[in-house]
Amino acid sequence: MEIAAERAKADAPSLMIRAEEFARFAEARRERALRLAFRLLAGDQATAEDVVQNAFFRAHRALAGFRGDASLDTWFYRILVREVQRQRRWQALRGWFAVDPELAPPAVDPRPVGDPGLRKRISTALEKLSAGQREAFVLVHLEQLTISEAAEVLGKAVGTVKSHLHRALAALRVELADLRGPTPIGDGPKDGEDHE
Amino acid sequence: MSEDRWLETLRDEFQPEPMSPQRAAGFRRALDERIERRAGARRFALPALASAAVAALALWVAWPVTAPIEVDASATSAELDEYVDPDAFASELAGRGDYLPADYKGLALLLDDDTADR
Repeated sequence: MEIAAERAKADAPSLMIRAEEFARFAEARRERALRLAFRLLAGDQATAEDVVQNAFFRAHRALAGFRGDASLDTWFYRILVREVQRQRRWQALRGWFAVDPELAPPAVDPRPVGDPGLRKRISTALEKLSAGQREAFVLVHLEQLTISEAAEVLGKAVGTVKSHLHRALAALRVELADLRGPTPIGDGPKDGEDHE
Repeated sequence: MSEDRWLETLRDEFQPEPMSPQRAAGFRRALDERIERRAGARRFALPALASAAVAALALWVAWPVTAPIEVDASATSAELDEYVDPDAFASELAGRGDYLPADYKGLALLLDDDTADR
């Protein structure tokens, strides 16, 4: 797995204080961080880019305090997930005082290819999940972290993450049932499966 | 479609557009600028704050006390003299009464008595 493979070489935070090394650290994780933020933010690419930049900025600030208890990747993705949570709280707060959503400008989707309708459906289905379910589903099934890694990133117990995953999968199977097509015999749900 | 295939479809369909080289460069530049701005702020703000703190401490230590110090009026030398009146024993001071201040005459007397007891 990508995180596991990078872990060994990434566990040297003291070497990263220098600017160019931090730049390499950020460069190596930028695409993946953007993908994770995009998925946790209902497909809003512009906001995802802002959030990723904030996360890198916070990581740079907090790097001196990194104690090495977790891997550098887990530590960074925890910062990123918190930044996403902060952004969502801020969006919710703005929603309280927002003008008529019909008047608000539509979110710009810079992606010119693919199936925008399908993306929108997946995004809507994910938005219907609770925050915990969405985070667990995205980390484990879309980002392919193990349940233990996801639990570490989210700062939750493994059992809690499994429970969120179970509920998220159940809801998404219903919501996106047509994407699954006919289920062959013996190809049932595997929501308790750990990727480890 | 199997569960794995279904999840793979979700993964493939629900991902951002990769950043173009120009966009990635802009991202890096913006991040570098933020980090540099913060470093610059720290370079000036931290020494300024530290200097201000040291100056405030020095001022606090050096500033003369303007409030009057309360004195226990019951312990003035006049009252103490009521218990030990050096003049009362002036004749026993064997000439030291000439140069000792009044407050010390009583002490000298006590010391002399102590020597005599031994």
